[in-house]
Amino acid sequence: MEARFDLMANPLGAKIAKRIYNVALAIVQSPLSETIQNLVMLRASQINGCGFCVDYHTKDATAVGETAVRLNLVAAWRESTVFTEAERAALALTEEGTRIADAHPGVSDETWARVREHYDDDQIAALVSLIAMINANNRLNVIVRNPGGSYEPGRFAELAG
Amino acid sequence: MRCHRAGVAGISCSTGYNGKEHTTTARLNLFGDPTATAAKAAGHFGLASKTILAESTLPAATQKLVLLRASQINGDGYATDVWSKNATHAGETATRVNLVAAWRESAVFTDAERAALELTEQGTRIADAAGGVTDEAWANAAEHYDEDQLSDLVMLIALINATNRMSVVVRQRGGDYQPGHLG
Repeated sequence: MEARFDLMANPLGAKIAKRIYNVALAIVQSPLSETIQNLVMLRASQINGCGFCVDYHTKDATAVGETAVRLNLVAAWRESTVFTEAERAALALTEEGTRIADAHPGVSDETWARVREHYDDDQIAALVSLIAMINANNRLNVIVRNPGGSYEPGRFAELAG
Repeated sequence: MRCHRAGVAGISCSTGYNGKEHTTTARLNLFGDPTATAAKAAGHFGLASKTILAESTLPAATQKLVLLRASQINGDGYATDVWSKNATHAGETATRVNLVAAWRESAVFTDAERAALELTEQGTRIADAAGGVTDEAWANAAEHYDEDQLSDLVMLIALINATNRMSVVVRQRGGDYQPGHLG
C-alpha cells in the first residue's frame, strides 16, 4: 500500500505540516499528562480509521511505557477495568468530540461535567485542542490514504522549531 | 471468584482489577449456577464456537482478527481483552494487533485477511436498516475462502456478535483475562 499523495514532498504541504507539528508541540508540553494524550489520540484515530495514526500513537505510547493490555482495551474502554475515572472522562470527551458529524448531538453536559471534575482549565484547554488536532490529522492521513504499519517512534522530531 | 468457559463465549466471573484503576463487577453472573438453564445453554454455545476454532481450515490468526474486530466495534471490553491477548499469545505482533481497529488504512494485513475483516465489519454493523453485507464484500471473501471456510466465517461472526452482547448487557468488563483460558 502506498499513499495517494505525499504531503511532505510538496513545499506547501511540508510548510503546513511543520505548523501543525508545532501546534501539537504546545499541547505536548502542556500540563495534560502524556498518558492521557496518548489514550485520546489513539481513540480518535481508531474511530476515524486512521491506520497511520493508530500505528504512530500505539508505538509512541509503548515507547513511554504504556502496557499492551491498556492499549488493546482503548477501543472498548467503557467495558474495561484498566482505566482511571479521569482517563474515562477524557475518553468519553474524545468519543463525543470526534463523532460530531451529521447532526450528532455533540458533547453532552454530563461528559463535560465529568471532565471538569478531573481536569483544571489548562488541562481542559489542552484536551479540547488535542481532540481537535488529532481529528484534523486523522483526516489528512485518511484522505491521502497514508497507511499504518511502518512508523518508528521519534520520526517527526525534526519538524520542531 | 473466577469462572471461565472455553470457546468464543467469553464467560467469566472475576472481580475486577487491582489498584487505582476503575473497578467494577458484572451486573449479573450469567453462568454462576451450572445447573441453571443459562449455564446449560452456554455449554452448547461454547461447544459451537470451540468446534469452529478447533476444526476450521480458516487460519487461526484470521479467526482471531475477526473476533477482535467485532468485539471492538461492539465495545465489548471482555472479549477485546480475550482476543487481543490470545492473538499476542499465539505470536501475533503488537503492530498487527494494534492496527486491527484501523485495518483498512494499514499495510500489515493480507488481501485475504482484509476480505475477512470487511465481512466482519459489515456483518457486525447490520442494525437499523444499515444495508447488510454488500455483494462486493461477499465476492471478495469468496475469492479468498472456500465454501467451508466461508461458512465458518459466517458462524464465527454470528457467534462473536452474540457473545459481545452477553458481555456488554451484563457489563462483564475486560482487563484481567489470562491468555489460554479461552480459544
